[in-house]
Amino acid sequence: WTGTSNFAVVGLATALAPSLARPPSEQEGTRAPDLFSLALGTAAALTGASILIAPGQFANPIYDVIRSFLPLFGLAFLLSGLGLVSAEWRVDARAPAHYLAHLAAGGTLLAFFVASAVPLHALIGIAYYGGFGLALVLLPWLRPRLDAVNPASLQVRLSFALAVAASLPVMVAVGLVETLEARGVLGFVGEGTATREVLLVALLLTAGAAALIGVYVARWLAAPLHQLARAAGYLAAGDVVAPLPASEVAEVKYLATSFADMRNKVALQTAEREQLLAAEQEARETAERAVKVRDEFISIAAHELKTPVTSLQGFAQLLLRQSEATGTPDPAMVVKAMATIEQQSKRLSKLTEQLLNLSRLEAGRLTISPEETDLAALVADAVEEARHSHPRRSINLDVKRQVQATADPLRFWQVVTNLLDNAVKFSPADTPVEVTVDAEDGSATLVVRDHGPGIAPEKRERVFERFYQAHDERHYGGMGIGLYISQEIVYLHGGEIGVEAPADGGSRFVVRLPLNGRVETPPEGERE
Amino acid sequence: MSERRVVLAVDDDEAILDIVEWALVDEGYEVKRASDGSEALVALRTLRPVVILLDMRMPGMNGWEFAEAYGKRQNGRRAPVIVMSAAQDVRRLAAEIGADGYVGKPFDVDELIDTVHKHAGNLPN
Repeated sequence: WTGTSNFAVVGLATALAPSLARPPSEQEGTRAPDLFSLALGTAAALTGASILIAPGQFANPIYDVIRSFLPLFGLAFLLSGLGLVSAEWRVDARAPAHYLAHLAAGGTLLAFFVASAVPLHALIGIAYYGGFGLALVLLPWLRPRLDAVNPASLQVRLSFALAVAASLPVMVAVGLVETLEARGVLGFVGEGTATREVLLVALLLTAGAAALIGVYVARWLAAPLHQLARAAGYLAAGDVVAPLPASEVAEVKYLATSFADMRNKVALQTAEREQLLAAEQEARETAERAVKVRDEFISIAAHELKTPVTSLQGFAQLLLRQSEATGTPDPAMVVKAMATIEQQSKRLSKLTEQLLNLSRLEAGRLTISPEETDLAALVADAVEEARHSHPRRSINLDVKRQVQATADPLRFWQVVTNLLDNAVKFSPADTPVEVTVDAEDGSATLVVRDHGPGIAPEKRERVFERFYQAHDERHYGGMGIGLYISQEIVYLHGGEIGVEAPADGGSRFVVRLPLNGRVETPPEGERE
Repeated sequence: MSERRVVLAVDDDEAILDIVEWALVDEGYEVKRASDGSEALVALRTLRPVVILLDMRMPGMNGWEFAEAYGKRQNGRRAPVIVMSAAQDVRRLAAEIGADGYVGKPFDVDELIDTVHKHAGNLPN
C-alpha cells in the first residue's frame, strides 16, 4: 500500500501542478512552491513513516535485500521528505537549504536504488527510484529551463503526441502478453514477470525516445515558421527584404511563397502610396508658395498704386480747401497741381497696364499685333516723354541707323518706357542715361545704358524673373514685373533681351529684334 | 509774431513734398524739404524743426537708416518723427523705428495737418 499511496500522491501532484502553479513572484529570486516537489517530499516522508511503523508490511524482495538497514532508510526517507516539504514551502529559490533538501531527498532515493534495485536487477525499481532520485537532485537546476517551456508550443505538443503514439503499440503488447499469459496461451515464453518487465521498460524507453524525436522534429519544423513570423513582424515595421525560410517542406514552402507574394504586393502598394503622398505634398507646398508669393505681390502692388494716388488726393483736397477758403484758388497753384495730377495719372495708368499685362501673361493671353514700325521714331518719342517726366535728368539718344521693323508699337513702347524708367530710377540724378538705336547682323538693337551702381553678377541672371527685385526694397519701390513683361514682349517678337555690365560701371540693357532679312536704311547723319 | 515754426519733410517724391509744403505753409509752418535721410541730417545741423515728416522707402539714406542715425546724434533731444508711408503696416513701421506718430499714404490733407499740430505741441502762431 505504500507504493499505491506514493503513486497516488505523485500522480495527483503531477496532474494538478500546471493548473495550480502560481505565477512566479515579481520579487527577484523567489517563486511559488513547486507542487511536484511537495508531493515527492510527502511521498518520501510517508514511505519513511510506513517503514518505521510497520516494517513487516515490506515483504517485497527489494526490501529483503536491505532488511538490516531498513530502519535507517525509513528514517532517511522520513527526514529528507519532511526537509524537502519544508524547503519547498519557503519561497527563496536561491537558499542553499533548498538545494540541500533536494540533494538529501534525491540522494536517499538514489541510495535506495543502488542498495536494492541494482543488485536485484529490478528493472522497474531502477527506473522508478533512479528516475525520481535524479529528478529530485536536478530539479532546482532544471526548473528555470522547464519554466521557459511553452506548453502550447509545437515542440511540447509534437513530442507528447509522438510519445503517446509510439507508446500505444507497446501498451497494447503489454496488455496482450498479460491476457495471453493469464489464459496460458503464452506459457512457452518463459518467466512471465521478466517478459512484462522487459515490455514495461521498452514502453518507457520508447516513449522517452519518441518525445526526444518529437522535440527535434518540432524544432526542425518550427524554425522556418519562426523565421516567417519574424519576417512578418519586420514587414509591419516597414522592412520588406527580411530573409524568408528556404524549407523543403511543401506546406512551409507554400506558406513562404504566399508570404513573399503578399509582401511584394504590400511593398509595391506602400511605395505607390508614399509616391502619391510625396507628390501631393509637393503640389500643396507649391500651391502654398504660390499663394504666399501672390499675397506679397498684392501688398507690393497696393503700395505702388497708393503712391500716385496720394498725390492725386492731396492736390485735389488742397485745391478744394483753397477754393472754400478764398473762393478762387491761386492760378499758379492750380497749374502746378494739374501738372502733378497729369503726371501721377500717367504713372497710375502705367502701373495698371503692367498689372493687366501680367494677368494676360499668366493666362497665356498676351498677344502682339505686329505692323511695320519705325523703331527709331518710336524710341525717340519714348525718350521725349521720359525727358518730360524727369526734367532734371539728361537722357541722350543716339540713332545710328533708322530702323524699320515688324513690331507691335504699343507693346514695344512699353518695353522702351520700362527700360528708361528703370535707368532713371536706379542711377544718380547727376548721371546721364544713354539710349542707342542701331542695326547689326540682321537685328535691330536698342541699348539703354545707365551710370548707376549696376547689378551684382549673381543677380544679373535673375532680373528678368517674375517678382524678382535686384535692389533693396527699403530703398526702391517697384513690383518686380517690368523686366519680366518686357522680356515676354520681346520674346513674342522673336527677339531677345539681356543685361550687360560695362567695365566703367552702370548697367547696359540690350534688346535685339529680328529684321527678317530686310536691309536697314543707311544712317541719315542727324543724331540727337 | 515770433519766427515761423519749421517742419522738416523727408520724401523722395517731389509731388508729396509739394503737397506737404502747400498744406502746412497755409497753417503757419515753414517747410524745409529733403529728398533722403542724409539730406535731412545735413539740414538738421542748423535746423530746429518742431516735427519731422519721414518717408520710409527712399533711395540714398532711407527712413530706417535716418531714424537710427538721428536717434544716435540727438542724444534724446529729438523732434517728434511722423512716419509717412504707403506700406500696409505703417503703424508697425512707426513702432519699429521708435517714431512718435504715423500718417498712412494716401492721406487726407486735414489728417496730415492735425497730426502735425498734435506733435508740434500746441496751435501754431
